[in-house]
Amino acid sequence: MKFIAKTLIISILSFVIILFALFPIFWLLRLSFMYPADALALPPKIFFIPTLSNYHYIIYNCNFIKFFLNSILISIGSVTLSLFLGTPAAYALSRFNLRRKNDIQFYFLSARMGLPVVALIAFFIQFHALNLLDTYIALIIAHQTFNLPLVIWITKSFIDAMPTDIEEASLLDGCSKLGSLLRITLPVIAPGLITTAILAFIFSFNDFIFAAILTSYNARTATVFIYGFFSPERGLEWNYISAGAMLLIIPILIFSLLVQKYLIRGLTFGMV
Amino acid sequence: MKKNFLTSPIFLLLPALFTVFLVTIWPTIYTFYLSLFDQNGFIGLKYYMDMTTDPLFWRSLQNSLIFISISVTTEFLLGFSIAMFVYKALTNKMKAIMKSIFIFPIAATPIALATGWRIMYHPVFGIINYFLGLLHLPAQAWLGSSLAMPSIIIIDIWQWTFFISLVLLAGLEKLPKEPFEAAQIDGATEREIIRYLTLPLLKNLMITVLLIRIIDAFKTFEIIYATTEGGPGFTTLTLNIYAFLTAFRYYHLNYAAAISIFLLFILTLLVFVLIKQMKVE
Repeated sequence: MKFIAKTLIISILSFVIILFALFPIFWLLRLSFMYPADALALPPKIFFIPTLSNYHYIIYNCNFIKFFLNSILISIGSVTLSLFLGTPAAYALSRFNLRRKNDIQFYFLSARMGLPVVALIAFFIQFHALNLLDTYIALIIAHQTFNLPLVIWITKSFIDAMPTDIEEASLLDGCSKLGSLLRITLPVIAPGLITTAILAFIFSFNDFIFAAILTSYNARTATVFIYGFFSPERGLEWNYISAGAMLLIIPILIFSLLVQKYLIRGLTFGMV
Repeated sequence: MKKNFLTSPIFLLLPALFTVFLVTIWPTIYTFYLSLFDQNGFIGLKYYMDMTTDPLFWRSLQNSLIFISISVTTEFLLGFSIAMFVYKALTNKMKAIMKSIFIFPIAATPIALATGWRIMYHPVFGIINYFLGLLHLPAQAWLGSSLAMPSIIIIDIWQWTFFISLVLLAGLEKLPKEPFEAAQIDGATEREIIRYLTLPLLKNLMITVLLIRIIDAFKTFEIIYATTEGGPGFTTLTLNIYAFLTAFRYYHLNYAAAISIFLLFILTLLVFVLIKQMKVE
């Protein structure tokens, strides 16, 4: 009897926690399949005729593909640049005895404290002067503020976890240091690099504050596009807004489930 | 010689060091420089003096402190309780499911999540007021002036409680088993075990996660901007939003620069004080 009561309480609590965590996303998902009249119906309909017309509308009538593609290309550009710059730095921090190693590590870590709005004001003026506003390049550079330190920290933790003997053996066999880095270290940490890339992609794709100011139309990202639906005249088009929101949420959730274990490490910059 | 140079630590580090400088330190210097000027020329620290008599500045500082203290405290208490519950009461399979679910509010695109909350908070067609109606409670203007602050705090709590749970859960799972077994054999109660074993062993992790949350709470942007834009009537205007709107809605970039530099300054100061406190203990 006591056992049953305990199981019941645990089940109810688990249910409440799951409901709290998922409800807003579930609610958007549900709205995204509804006709406008159903979306605003009170009391909310439990049974309704589902439709894909909202997704059709967002994808074909709103230039969504362009903005979504912008988001993806900017994220890929930003991740590539971060990996290209960050991986060698992570290797150096992990494999060499540097004199000011702690200072350098703190320097990279302190970027975690940085305030986007401070950087944004400077970026806005300087990119304007360089004629780079509303280009991919502007956002790819701006996203380095959070992605480059992230890549260095996460990649370093993967290299730290790799035993040094294979590298040492390759050096003894006459492989150059550079050869050892390219032929031994990189292939071994490749899965780690992919994980890092996905993490950085998520942060880049989710960015709104930089994209809202540094782009206008040509480089507008999907997040800025979604925000555009908040104008007063579109305010109650919940069926469309939710379909748009789900088109952003679903791919990111799939990615984040792939790198689940490392997401927390990414958010805490390897501190946890 | 050339090959050695290519793998020298300086050559490997330099591009990253330079780029981080270019995107973090240089913009900070430049923004600070901007804050010392107005349209007519150099004014020194005048804008920082102006801030002390700017009622909106004080209002947003107060709002920031209220927002951060209430949301971070609640997230921590709730997050810890959920972590303990999942760790103690659930089977391994349920634990794994919970951990996946907890990722959702953290990782999903914040601006898209904000649309969901905006829809749920809607005064007429929103689901929250509908539920209140079922309980015979009056409908509320969730994003109206008197409830806007609690409403955005609720969104923040929803987004970040599970982050704290996941961090602490990872910590709990890494704890050594022996002291707990010993305590049980010695007949310690559940409460004593938490008080004298779990909490002290997790202390550093707890301080770290609190530090991270405080830093991030200062930077909260999307959920406020996309639901209330700091309003109505400045009730949810935090320093971060105030700096942003001053710069990019009212195009008063120099004054916005001063506000944002001040915000960065108190943030840095706070972090140093907290880290020092950590080291002392």
